[in-house]
Amino acid sequence: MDVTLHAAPRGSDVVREQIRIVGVGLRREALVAAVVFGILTIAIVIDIFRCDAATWFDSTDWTPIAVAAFLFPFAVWRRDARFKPAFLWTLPADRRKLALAKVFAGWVWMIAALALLIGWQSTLARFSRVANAEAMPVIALIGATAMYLFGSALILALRHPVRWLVGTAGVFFLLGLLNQVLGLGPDGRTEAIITSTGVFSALDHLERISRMYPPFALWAIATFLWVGAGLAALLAAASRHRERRRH
Amino acid sequence: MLVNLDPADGRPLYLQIMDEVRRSIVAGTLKAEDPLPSVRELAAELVVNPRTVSQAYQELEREGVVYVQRGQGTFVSPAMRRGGGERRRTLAREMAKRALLEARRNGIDAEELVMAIQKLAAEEERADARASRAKGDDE
Amino acid sequence: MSGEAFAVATYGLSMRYGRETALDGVDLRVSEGAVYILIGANGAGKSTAMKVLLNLERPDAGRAEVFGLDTALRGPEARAQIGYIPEQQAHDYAWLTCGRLIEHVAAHYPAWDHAYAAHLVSVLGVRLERKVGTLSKGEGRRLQFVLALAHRPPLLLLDEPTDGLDPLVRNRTLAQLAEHLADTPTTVVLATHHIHEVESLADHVGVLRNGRLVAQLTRDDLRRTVNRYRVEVAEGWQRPPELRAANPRRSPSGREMQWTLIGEPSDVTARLASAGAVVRDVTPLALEEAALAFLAEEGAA
Repeated sequence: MDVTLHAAPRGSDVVREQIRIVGVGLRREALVAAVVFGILTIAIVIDIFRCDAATWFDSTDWTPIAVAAFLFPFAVWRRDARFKPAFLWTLPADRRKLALAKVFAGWVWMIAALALLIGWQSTLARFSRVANAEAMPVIALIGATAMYLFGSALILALRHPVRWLVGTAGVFFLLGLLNQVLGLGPDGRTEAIITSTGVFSALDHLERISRMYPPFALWAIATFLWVGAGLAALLAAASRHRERRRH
Repeated sequence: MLVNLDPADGRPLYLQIMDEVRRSIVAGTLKAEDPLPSVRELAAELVVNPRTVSQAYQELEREGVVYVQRGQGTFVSPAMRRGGGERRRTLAREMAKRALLEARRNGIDAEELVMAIQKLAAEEERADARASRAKGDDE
Repeated sequence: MSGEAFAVATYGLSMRYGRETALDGVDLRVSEGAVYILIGANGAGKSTAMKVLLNLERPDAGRAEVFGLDTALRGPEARAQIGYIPEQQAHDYAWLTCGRLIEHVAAHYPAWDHAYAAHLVSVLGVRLERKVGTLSKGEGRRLQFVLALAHRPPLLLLDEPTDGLDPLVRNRTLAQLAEHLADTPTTVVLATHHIHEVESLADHVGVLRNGRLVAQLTRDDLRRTVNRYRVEVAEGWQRPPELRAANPRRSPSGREMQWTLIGEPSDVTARLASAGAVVRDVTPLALEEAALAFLAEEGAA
C-alpha cells in the first residue's frame, strides 16, 4: 500500500477556527450581557431624561472590568477537559500552540466586547448632559489584557483553578482573622505579606495604578510589567500542555 | 448472483465467496460474459474486507473462471459456456468432501454415508411417486 | 522483517494508572492496509493503546510509531494521519450542532473531503441541525464515523465503534466502512469486545489480556493454529503440560476429552498421539471462538 501522509493544518487556519468556535461558545454569555446592558441602557436613558443621571457617571472604578477580564478565560475554557484526553487534544495541532490559539481567540472576543462597552459608555456619556462624564479610556484594555492573561495562565496551569481561588481566598481570610486575633492591626507584618503576594494584591495594584492616571512613562512601564508578567505566566502555564516530552 | 456467507463455516471467507460464484455458474444464474459485482459493491453488501473479495476474484481469475477487463470490472469467462459437466462434477466433489468430513467427525465411514444417501434418495423418490399418484386419483 | 512497512508499531509500551497495569510491554505491529482487530476484556488496555498512538497519554515506558512518526515527538503529524472514534463520546462540544462540529473538525484537516462528508451524513442519517448533546448514543456514534472518515485518513483507530448502534444501523455503518476501505487505502485498528459484529472485516487479530499482548497474528494463521480437538483417552489421563489449552471438557466417563488447543495442528496432533490420546476430531473454529481461546487460556499469567 502506498501511503501518502496527510499534512497537519496550517497555524493560521487553526487560529482562525479557534476564533470562530470560541465566538460560538460565548454566545450564551453574550446574550446575558446584552440583556443586562439593555436593561442598564433603559435605566440610564430614563435617568438622563429626568436629568438625574449624574450618579451613573461619577465612578471611575475599574475593578469590575478587571474582575470580568480575569474571569473571562473561565467562560472560554468552561467546557474543555484540559487535563484529560479532551476532544480538543485529539485535533492534529500542537497542543501547546492550540491552547495559546484558544487563549488568543478568547482575548480577541474580550477586546471586541470591551470596545463595544467603551462605545456604549461614550455614547451614553455624550448624551448624558452630565458635566465631565467620561467613558473608560482605551488604556483600560491593556489592564484587562493583563488580567485576562493571568486568568488564562491559572486555567492552563491548574486542574481545579476555582478550588485554588476559593482556597486562596480562604487562606487570606484566615490570615486576616489571625491578624485581628494577634492584634497586629492593618499595618502589621502579616498584612504586609498578604498584600505583597497573591491575586488580590495584583487586583489592588492594578486598580490603584490605573486610578492614578499616571503620566505616559509610568503607565508604559506598568503596562509592560503587567502584560509581560501575564504573558510569562501564560507561557509557563501552557508548557504544561507541551507535546514533545519523553518520560 | 447472490452471495451468502455462513459465519459458522470455518473455511476462509474468500473460499466461501469463490464457491458461491461457482455455484451460481453451475446453477445458471451467472452466465458467460456476465459481470460480477464490483469489489466495492460486494464488500459493502457482505460487510467484508474488500481485500477478501479481491482475493476471491483473483483466485477465480487464476482458475480461468472469470476474467478482468481493466477499468470495466470482472466478468465470467467465455470458457464457462462449455464443460458444464465437469464443473458439476467439481461442485459435487466439493460437497462430498464436506459431507465426508462431517461423517468422519461422527464416526461414520464413507461406505455407511454413501448407503445412507442412496437409501434417503430412494425413499424421497418413492414419496414423490406416491404424492403424484394421490394427485392423479383426485382428478 | 525489516522491509515491511507498519502503519502502527509499538515497542515495549508500558503504562500504569496508579496500581492498575494498563499496558505491559506491548509490541503492536499493524501492517499497512491491514484491518486489525484488537480484542480484550474491558480494561485490558485497548483504549489506552489508542490514546498513546494519539499522544493523548504518555506511556511510562516504550514508544509508539504511526507510519514511522514517533507519536511522542511528532504528535500533531501523527494525529493528522488518524481518524479516531473514541470509546466515550466527547461531551466537551455538546453545545454545538452536528453541522457546526463537522465544520470545526474539517478546519483542522487540509485533506477534508466536503463532498464525501455530505455523502456520509446522508448515508448514516446524521441530522446536522441537532445539538451534539441531545444525540442518542447511536446517533453520536454515526456522527463520529463522519468525523473520522471524511478526511480519508491513512489510519483509522476505532474504539468499540459498534457500541450503541442498533443492528440495522450497525450493518449499514459497517457496510459504509467496507465501501470506504475499497475506495481509500486505509489501515484500520479496531478495538472491540463484540467480535462477531466486525469479524468479517478483519484480516489481523491481536489479543490483549491484562495489558499484555498475548497473541498477534493474521486471520489465516489464527484459523490454522487454533482448533478444537476431541480425543479418546484412558481414564485419569492428563494433557501434556506444554500444550496451550483453553475451554477443557471431559465426558462423565472420563474417556472422552475436548479442548481448544493452540499450535500447528500436525504438531499438536503428534504430541497428543505420543501422550497416548487418540485424536478423534480436529475442528477449525470461527474467528471469535479462536480469538477467545487466548483470553481463556489456562495457566497463562
